[in-house]
Amino acid sequence: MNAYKNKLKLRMVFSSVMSVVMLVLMIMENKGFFNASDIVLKEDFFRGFINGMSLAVIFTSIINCIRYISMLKNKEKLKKYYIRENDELKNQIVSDVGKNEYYFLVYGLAIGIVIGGYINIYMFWSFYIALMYYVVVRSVLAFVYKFRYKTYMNSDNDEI
Amino acid sequence: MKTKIRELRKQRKISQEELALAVGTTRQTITSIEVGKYTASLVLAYKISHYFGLTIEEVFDFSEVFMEDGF
Repeated sequence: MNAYKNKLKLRMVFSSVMSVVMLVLMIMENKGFFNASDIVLKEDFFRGFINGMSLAVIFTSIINCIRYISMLKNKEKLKKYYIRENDELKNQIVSDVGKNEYYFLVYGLAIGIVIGGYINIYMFWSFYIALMYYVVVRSVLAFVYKFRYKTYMNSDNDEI
Repeated sequence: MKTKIRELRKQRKISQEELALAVGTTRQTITSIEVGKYTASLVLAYKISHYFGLTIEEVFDFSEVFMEDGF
């Protein structure tokens, strides 16, 4: 349970940092810091969207921090959340989703790149960047987990 | 996979929630294991068997697993 407590504390630090970063960005944007250089932020829709998203991140981070603090103070609550979060059926579902998600996302985005290329250059680049981002994130995570389970180190050594 | 969890629970008058809490899982997982929709991990199978004071083979029926996999 101590490892889980440390995990929660780490999440709290991460949430706080995220909130501060988002808040600083929001203040900077509203003070007109980005206006001179960025055409996108001059349009009200995008400005509203970015501000709304920043507020959502800040709000979620604060709610999560409050939740984590209450969990750390109450042993019963901590156990309940630990069980809920580490439930193996839930993890199995997430794992199954991940396996299918990979094919849907990669093939969907690849088709999007091709179709977007015929229709609009912005669509093309949006799909392309999304696909690259997904591939990079997944590759890094796969490497980290393979390294954690040491399959890279001894995958070819069939020891007797 | 077939299991005797439901019978054992009924015999000892234990609810799914109580068993779930004792072995560190959720009631939904216990339900899925009982109806055979989900196969418990080795650790969870051990915990459940240990909770009832039985061996894994006495609680879980592995005969179908060998037939399904073919090895």
